[in-house]
Amino acid sequence: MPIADPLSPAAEQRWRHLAQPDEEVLLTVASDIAAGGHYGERWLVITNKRVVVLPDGRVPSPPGADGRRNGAAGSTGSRPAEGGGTHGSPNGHVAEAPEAREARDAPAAGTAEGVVALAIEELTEAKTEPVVGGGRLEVYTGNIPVPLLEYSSSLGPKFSEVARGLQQVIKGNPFLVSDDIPKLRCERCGRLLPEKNMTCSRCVRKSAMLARLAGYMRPVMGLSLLLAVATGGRTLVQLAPPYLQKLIIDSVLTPPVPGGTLKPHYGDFGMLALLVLGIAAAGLGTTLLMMIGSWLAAIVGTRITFEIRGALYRALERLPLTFHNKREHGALMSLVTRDTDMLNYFLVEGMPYLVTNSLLLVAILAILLSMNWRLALLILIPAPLVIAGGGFIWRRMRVYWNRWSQSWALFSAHLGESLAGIRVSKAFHQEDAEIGRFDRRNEDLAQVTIREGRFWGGSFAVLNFITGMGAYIAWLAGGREVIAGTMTLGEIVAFVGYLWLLYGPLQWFNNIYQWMSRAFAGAERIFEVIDTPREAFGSGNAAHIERIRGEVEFRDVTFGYDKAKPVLKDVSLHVEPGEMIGLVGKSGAGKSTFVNLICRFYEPDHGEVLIDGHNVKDISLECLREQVGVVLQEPFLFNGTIAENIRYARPEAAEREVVVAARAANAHEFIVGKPDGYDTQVGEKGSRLSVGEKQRISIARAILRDPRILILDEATASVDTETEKAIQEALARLVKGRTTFAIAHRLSTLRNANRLVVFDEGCIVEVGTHKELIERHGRYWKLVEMQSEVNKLRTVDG
Amino acid sequence: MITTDHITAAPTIVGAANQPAEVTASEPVTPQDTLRLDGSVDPRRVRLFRGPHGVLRCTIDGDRSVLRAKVVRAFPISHQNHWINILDWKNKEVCLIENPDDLDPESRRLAGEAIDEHYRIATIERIYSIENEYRTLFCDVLTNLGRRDFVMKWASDTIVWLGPDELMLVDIDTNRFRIPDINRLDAHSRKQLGVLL
Repeated sequence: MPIADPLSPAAEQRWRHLAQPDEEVLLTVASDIAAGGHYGERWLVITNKRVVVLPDGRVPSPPGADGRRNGAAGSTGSRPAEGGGTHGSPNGHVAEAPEAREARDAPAAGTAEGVVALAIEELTEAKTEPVVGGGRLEVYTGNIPVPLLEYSSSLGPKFSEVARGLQQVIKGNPFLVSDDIPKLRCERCGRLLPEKNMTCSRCVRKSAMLARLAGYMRPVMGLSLLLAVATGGRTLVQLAPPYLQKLIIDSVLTPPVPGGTLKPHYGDFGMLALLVLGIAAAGLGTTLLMMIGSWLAAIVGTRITFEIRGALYRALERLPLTFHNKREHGALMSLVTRDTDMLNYFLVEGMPYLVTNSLLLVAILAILLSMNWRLALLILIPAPLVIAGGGFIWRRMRVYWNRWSQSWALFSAHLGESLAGIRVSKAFHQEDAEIGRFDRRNEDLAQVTIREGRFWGGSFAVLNFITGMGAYIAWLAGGREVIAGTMTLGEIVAFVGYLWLLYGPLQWFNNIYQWMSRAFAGAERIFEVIDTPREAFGSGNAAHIERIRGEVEFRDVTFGYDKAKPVLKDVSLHVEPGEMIGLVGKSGAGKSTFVNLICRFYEPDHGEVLIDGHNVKDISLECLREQVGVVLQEPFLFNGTIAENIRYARPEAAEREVVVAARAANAHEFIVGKPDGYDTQVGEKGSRLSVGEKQRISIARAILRDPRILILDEATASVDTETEKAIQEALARLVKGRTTFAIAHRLSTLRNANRLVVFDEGCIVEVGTHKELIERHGRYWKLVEMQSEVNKLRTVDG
Repeated sequence: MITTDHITAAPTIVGAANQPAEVTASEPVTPQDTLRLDGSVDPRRVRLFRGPHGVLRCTIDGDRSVLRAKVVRAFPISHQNHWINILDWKNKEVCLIENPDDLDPESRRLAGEAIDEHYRIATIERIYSIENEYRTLFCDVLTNLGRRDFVMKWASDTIVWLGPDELMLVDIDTNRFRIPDINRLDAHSRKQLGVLL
């Protein structure tokens, strides 16, 4: 979404009065918080000379301007309600003249009627200041902050980019801002999106969705056609019994009226048996066709969801980490499991039901109208009530199901947590408190279930009564016609029979529509993931470097997982091939983010990361990841054997290579000490191994990979001293001849580094050898001093 | 074991270039005059005031002055009117005040303003509609800050009970909306709220 917003007419008018000659407008953006803190618009105009804040014409002034900046956050308890202010004359020309004069005349800052104008040359910095539920764009004049405008959290990413762009102008650089701003509203209908950049559920076209689902039907096209035939046949067969009942009553059982039409089959048992056989055959046919239909629907539906689930998982594996970071794992698992199940359920159960009953409805209506159109219209009187009642019940039921689902989620989350933390509960003697909490959750769940059951039972009883009204009308009005001799008894029986066939689906049709919408919304979410651009693995133009030398360079790199909060700010560093770089700094200083960018798990918001002189964006991702090895603080092992986990780096590696890697990682001895040696199952996430064992396996994995660039992210942080020594030995072998980036809080482990890079709040503040940095008495020296103090305390305690 | 309930004041921070500096006290500070163990101070010694461009400043009498302060709640949900923290521009604690009513009236007023600046939480006065689409709620409301539509997920951490009748809704962008008393909403609003409660 473009970052720039066109000025509103009122703001445009104001700007025309304020603009200076030969002033070039670089950007205009709107915030969603007006002066006084209420919702509305204020405009930021960045030019090559000034930064100007304009209020929207409709915006009232904040009450009691007490020397604070006009338009600063609202004062306690006195924010005016929307439209309750007095400022903002529609014919703003007269009102704006003094403000324009003041703002234009002011060299550094001018404030009048909500306009703030500051000369760029007076500014030293631009930044955003986050608050709970929003943020504030600020500039500094010298060391004095000037709040410019506020915005809600929804516009956080946009104003972060604005601040970055403004900072460039302040520094005298060209103004460059990204247009990659998350989309909040549907571009078609203007409605808010369920999530940023997501598709609008209201604008999902069901026909387009059906067409796309049909595309997945190709492998089972023959079976799909058979399913259509079975479904149509079943509909036809279902129509037969009421008509046969009519024939039995009118032709076989009812005596002819004296002087009336001759009934050749009256009292004919053979005909009776034949017609009953016909009803039974229709029943059997319906059953058989239902079985065949269900069987075919199960195959067709399951194959389609099999294909979609596969495509979805393949997409998830290929999507960049930025995508995964924004989504909860639970939500993604729900996509693969629940949403695909929902789609499967609809395709297997719902779709045949919808098609069969739609055909049935049309056919029955045609039959009833042809039999007796007046009676047919009469019995349709309760139909709107049944449809509306069905709709009401399903809407309410959805609320109950949501409540139940919420209660169940809380219940199961509490259960899982309390069982996982049972050692802590016992240690703090909190068993009774935990039992109390469980009882409350259990009671909540029981109450919700009871309420749901009560509503379900009661409402459907009422709906069935309403549905029965059609039959009462049929018997009353039809019976009258039978008495009058204008209708036969068989016809009225057939009428009532068709009526139940008609009203049954009507009760459920509303639900079917909801069901379809729900399944299609799930399908939409799935297709959205499938359609999300994947990581560019080896695109046509990507460079394939057979053997990376290991030269790494960061050029003015700025990056934030949330664009509103940059984690790295204008970082520049050049690393020679084979160098070992120690990354030092407090938690959250940006060290791990720095190495994540080398792996291209993320791409810089600004600046470049170069490897061997190539921008990482231009290197084939496959080639890059093959030559970068990572050892993490908390190594992740997959369920399988130790050998399989070491081979994860290179599945084709021979046993000898696996053993060599394990030896180099000081892992061989503990592995062969286990009863199953390299075939030992490590358990889920490696749960059957100690942290030190897992770490050494992950080092063996990295050794087997033989990476040109090695990243050690706190590789020895979670282990005891003896294990650390073993791991350090293994790492010393591993780093030889490779460019290495090592992050460690224990500074002593980085003394062998060629250079140490000290991070603070996303910036590189010091670079040098251990000796140089100690002599400099700077940030690194302080960290070393602090750690020495802690070690002394440990020694005293110990 | 620590036997005293007083500790010495944190070292004074010298401001970096382009950032507000912290100013040290002109007189020596004795341990009795400085922060208590929980970080609180005698509120009578704390003074808040506005500097240029409305920037909040804080002075602890006889101790130090902070050229750019902000005020946050230590317990924003469970104790909204007590336990306020004054922080400097780097989010380092200046002091903790248990009861803001103990501040002088002007400082109390400014603390309230600063809290309002820091917590952009709109109070819902009327609910026009809440539509539930598969546990995503599309809300259209009138707040004390004006009309607003927002989207939220139906989850326990987005529908937060602050009290028996007080509710906070958190949208997908982490904007917050408060309903001080759901019983005081009009009938239509309560009916709409029934969708999510």
